[in-house]
Amino acid sequence: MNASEPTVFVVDDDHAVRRFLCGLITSIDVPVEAYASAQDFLDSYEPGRAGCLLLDIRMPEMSGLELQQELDRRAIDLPVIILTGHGNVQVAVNAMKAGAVDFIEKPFNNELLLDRVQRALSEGVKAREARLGQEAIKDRMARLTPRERQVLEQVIAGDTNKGVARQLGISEKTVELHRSRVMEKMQAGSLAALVKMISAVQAS
Amino acid sequence: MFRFVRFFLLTSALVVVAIVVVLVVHRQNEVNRLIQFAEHENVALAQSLANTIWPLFSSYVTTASTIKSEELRGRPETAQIRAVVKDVSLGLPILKIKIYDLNGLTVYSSEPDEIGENKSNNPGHFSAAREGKPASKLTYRDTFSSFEGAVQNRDLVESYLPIPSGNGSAEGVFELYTDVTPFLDGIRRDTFKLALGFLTVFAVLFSILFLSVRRADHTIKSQYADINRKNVALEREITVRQQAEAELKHARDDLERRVEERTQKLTREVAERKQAEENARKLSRAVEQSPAMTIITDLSGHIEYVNPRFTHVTGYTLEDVMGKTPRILKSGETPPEVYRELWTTITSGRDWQGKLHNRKKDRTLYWAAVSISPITDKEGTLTHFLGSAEDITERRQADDEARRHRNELAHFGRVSSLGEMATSLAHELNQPLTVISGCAQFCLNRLRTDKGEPKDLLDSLEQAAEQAERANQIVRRVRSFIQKKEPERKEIDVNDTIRAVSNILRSDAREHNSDIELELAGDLPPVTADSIEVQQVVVNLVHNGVEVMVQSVPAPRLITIRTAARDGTVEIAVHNTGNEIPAEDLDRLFQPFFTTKSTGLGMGLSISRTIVEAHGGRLWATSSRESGTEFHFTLPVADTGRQR
Repeated sequence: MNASEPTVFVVDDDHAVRRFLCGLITSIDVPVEAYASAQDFLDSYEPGRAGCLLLDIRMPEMSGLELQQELDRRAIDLPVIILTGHGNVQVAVNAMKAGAVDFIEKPFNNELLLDRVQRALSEGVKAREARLGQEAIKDRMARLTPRERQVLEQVIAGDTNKGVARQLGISEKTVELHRSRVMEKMQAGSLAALVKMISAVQAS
Repeated sequence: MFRFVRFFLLTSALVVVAIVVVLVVHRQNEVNRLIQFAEHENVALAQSLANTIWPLFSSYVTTASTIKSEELRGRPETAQIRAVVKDVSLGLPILKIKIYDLNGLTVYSSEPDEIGENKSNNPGHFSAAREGKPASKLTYRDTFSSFEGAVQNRDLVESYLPIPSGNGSAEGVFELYTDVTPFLDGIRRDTFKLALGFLTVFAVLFSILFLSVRRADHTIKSQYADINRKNVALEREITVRQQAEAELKHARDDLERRVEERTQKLTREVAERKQAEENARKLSRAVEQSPAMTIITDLSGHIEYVNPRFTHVTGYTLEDVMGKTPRILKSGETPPEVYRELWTTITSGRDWQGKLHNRKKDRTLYWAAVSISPITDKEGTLTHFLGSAEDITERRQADDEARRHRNELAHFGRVSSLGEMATSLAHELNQPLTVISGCAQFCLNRLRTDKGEPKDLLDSLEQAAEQAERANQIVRRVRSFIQKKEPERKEIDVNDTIRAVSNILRSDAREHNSDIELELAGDLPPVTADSIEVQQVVVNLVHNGVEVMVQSVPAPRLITIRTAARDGTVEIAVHNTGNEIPAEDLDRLFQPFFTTKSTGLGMGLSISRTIVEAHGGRLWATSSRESGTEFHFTLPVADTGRQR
């Protein structure tokens, strides 16, 4: 199994349910790993693996909610789909509040479940890409000199070169030089692209 | 004691000594007198000799010192003197005469050999005589040469006599030896006679006195001995009398004591007899008044007595049943083996106790708790049987009623606790349903899209079937748990019972993020119990534990169920890791409607305790901060289990 391939991590203490879910997910050719408890999963999860978590909220030892908190603590960024018994609305609400992307009542429709799983996987991929992009932007920003960073901030704020030069007490020419360096280092084709980059980083 | 004889002998000896002294003194006096007498005579003789001789021979004598002694003896004067002296002394007891000059020279002697000897070296008597004083002494001579020749054994008085001169001084000295032997013999004889007389008188007196004294002494001695003997006898008699008195007193005391004892014993016997009579009266009255039916039969079971209570309950009077057997009470409802066991027991001399379903005279049935005891005489021979019975029909009805109430309450408890666990049970059912539903969809989908390979479908359908059975079991367990039926006591294995209910328990636990662990002892003896009721107790304790933990501690929460054989019981312990329960609440937990939870009626533990106690067991709780809270209950091991 390719570790980089997004994988569905099933955590359910009920053997029969676990077995069925594995079979179902395998049938759409998605890698799946099953765990009998939250702790088992935490113990064997390698950081950075992509995928989603299919989690029964009702388990002994560590509950689904507690696992979600533990994932946050460990900065594991996996979309979580909660499986609940029917009619347990309050539990579902709490799960969503804690960051679950979805919840599904048992018994479930197979198609619906697979659909949600795939959606979660692709969202996971997207989120992962976004996170990687942001990290790249942050890396680039980290390479800026202090003066370049000052210039960048002023430019994003919409200041003209002249304004920037007056604010920083340097010549307009120098501002222009810094500005072109910033655009180069940030790999931004246009001012608009630069603004979008910075706002994405700041929003996260 | 005074020794008369000794005293007398001592006195007598003194008397003898005194007599001897007197005799000696007396003799000495006699001798002295004799000497004086002889001397007097000698003086007179000397005077006459002097008168005769001295004028003739004084000059010779005074000159004799100049003549040699040998010449003296031959001198004519000597012969002349001898003649004169012999003449003068004729007829006188004079044995010898000597004449000395003043120088002591023996001028003349009747013994011629002595003439010429010097006597000056014999100063005593001679000197006294030279000074003018006559001196005499008594001497004894074995042989003596006298005028008449030698004589033997003579007492002599030897006198030195001065020869007076005209001027009064001595001119010479005469020495005369006078024979006093006859006088001295006379003195001796006298003395001897005197002594003999004294001694004779004394001896006679002594003998008489001695005899009487000895007699007196003897008398005194014998009297003294007699007195002593009497004293001893008296003392002995006194001792004997004292002993006799003591024995008498002892005998009297003994008698008094025995009289006292006998009196007490009699009093006691009288009291005992009275008591016995009283007891017999009371017993008879007690039997008459007894609220228990009393029957006395002979050994073949013929009734000899029934008490009024018997008549009251059964309707049969004493006349009705006299001589008949208790078989008239038989209803046919009691199995025949009960009667067989009854007879076997009592005819072997032991008590029998049991319950009989009997019939009254009016044909109605009643239940009797019967106790039958054999009665034996003093020798231990069976004589009668005593039956005591109580009508327990009402009590049985009340018991039945109570049991029904208890069962209803237990059932209510089961239903109510299942109600509390409804959510988790629904979830528990949901799991197999999820799989079944999913498998069904999967198969349908495959079939619809014509992708269905029988092999793929088989796996899914197998899963579905398994889960359907799982759901079925859950439903069956729930149904049996809440079904309303009479409890059925039989030998069960507590471990099996706990395993059977553990699904329900797990679902409940999981609902609250808790887990259940079973630690079941390997070799448990069976207990006699109703399985469902035991399950109910376990469910209550687990459900309770889960709820307590949910309220007090974060996950992971663990319930541990342990079983163990202990002291003829099987102990089941349900442990939870929740907060400590205060000691004052530990017992109140089991009171109805006592609850620390926000949900539930608070009946679970109360019902559990009722169930456990109805099984003859015990339910209690222990709690501490370190080890959590543990509920324990025991169930008595079945008889077959004990024998194992």
